[in-house]
Amino acid sequence: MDIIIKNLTHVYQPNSPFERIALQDINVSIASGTFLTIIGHTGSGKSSLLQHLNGLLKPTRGEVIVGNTVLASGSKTKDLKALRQKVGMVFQYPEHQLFEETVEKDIMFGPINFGVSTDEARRRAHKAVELVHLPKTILEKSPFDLSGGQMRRVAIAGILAIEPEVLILDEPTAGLDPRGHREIMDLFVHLNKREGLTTIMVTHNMDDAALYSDEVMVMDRGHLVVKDRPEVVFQDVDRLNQLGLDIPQTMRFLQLLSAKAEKDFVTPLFGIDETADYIAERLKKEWDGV
Amino acid sequence: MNIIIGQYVPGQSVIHRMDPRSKLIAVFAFVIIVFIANSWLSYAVLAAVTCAAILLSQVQLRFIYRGLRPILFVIILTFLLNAFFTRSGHELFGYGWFQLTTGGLRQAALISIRLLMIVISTTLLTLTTTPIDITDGLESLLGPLKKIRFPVHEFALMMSISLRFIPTLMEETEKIMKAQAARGVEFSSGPLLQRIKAILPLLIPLFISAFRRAEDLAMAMEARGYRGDEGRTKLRVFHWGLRDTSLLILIFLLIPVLWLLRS
Repeated sequence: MDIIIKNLTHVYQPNSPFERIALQDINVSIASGTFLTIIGHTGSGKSSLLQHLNGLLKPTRGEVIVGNTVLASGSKTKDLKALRQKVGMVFQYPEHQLFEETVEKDIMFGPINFGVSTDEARRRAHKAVELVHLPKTILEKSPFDLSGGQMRRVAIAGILAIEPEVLILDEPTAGLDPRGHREIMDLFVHLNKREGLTTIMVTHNMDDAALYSDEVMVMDRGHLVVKDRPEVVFQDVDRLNQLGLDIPQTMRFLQLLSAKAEKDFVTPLFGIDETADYIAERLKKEWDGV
Repeated sequence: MNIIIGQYVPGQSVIHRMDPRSKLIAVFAFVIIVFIANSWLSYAVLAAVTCAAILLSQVQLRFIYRGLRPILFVIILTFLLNAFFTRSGHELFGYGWFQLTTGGLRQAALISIRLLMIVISTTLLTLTTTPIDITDGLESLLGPLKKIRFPVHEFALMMSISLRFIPTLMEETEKIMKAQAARGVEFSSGPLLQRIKAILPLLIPLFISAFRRAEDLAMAMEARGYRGDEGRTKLRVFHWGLRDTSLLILIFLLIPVLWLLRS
């Protein structure tokens, strides 16, 4: 499902002393099936932008077009429900939204709200649990007896069971250990590549942004700075630093290496193996005296 | 969502800088003293005191109005009830059992002014004193109750912790509402029964997070050596000054003055 954002401006508490412009004149189009990552400093408007995509916030000016739904400042809540079914949103620390007696009931909660029959919702719950790599035995347990990582997967399964076409992720790996982090990211990449879910993720982790996304979008104080392929975005190290953003660890390593070797090694590479290969090749060239 | 807990308006006026204990005693005494007055002259004295307090506090009138707004309806209702149900003096206007008398009007005006002054004086207290100062002041004033084993310190601590966590809980509520809205819950539309049902997916996560937060807080306090009241000193120590003593003398002087002006 294509997403088009036109001249989107959002002002919090307009016409009051607390008035604050969160987003200013944003124009973006996101093609169906894209894995887009949004990066930016705290308060850059990332979360506000995400919340426009499924109508949790309405534009102050401009419009957001998701598939054939148009969201503008006057949109009615009735249309929003259809939009929310198509756009699944995983909030930060999604495990905080669990409340049912069993995992199964909690996962079924979303689909049932959107008018799916109980049998169908149960079928989806079983499928979703499998998707997030949890054993079926977990369905009968209370969500509050699970470990933190398992709770997060259950919460994500609860969104996947709604069977959205677009998946929105707000820092989905915050607070997970390295293994849980990798597993969750693998899950999202799988959903994006295999199931064709358009994925939009906000993260502070530059390695995730560089490794997994088709496109990276940089935001600063409510403005869109750039949206391009990760190789292009991370090329401009100085600008990222100016915006208070980091670069992926592989590039940081190349930076340090350049400083030591007094030669420029910095290039946008994100995988550890390919970076190692690149260094080896460069060094070989140096020694061969090319 | 932007809710200001407590109405404190920062300032540097004499009233702002007073010891919260003297302000608490003064307001408490004033609220009782207001009931002594029953003549126009005694009310004039009280009104003068109230106006002087407002002037001294240098708080803008719109903040006082904001504090009054929720009570305004009650004041108007009291006025109307008194005006129409008190029958004394001449009849000004009559229609069947429905009568407006001079006595009724007088009574209504006096009672409304009384209510107004009570609300203004308490509003002035919360406008010029931070919630934390009020709790600390209360703790200090209730200190003697410790002798009869009343847990004054714990009581004050409970109060300040709840005040501290109201904004946090509001934020949490908003977050969970959004998360559940994304799962198809409608909080603000749909049939009433459905909206009541929608409260559950909000309340359960909210309670769980509140309990977790309470546990974390207790642990963090204990880790920093909190052992209750015993031997605990305060970061901010109150200073009882000349102005505090004079305020109390002034307030208690009102008692004989008003007594003399009674009709």
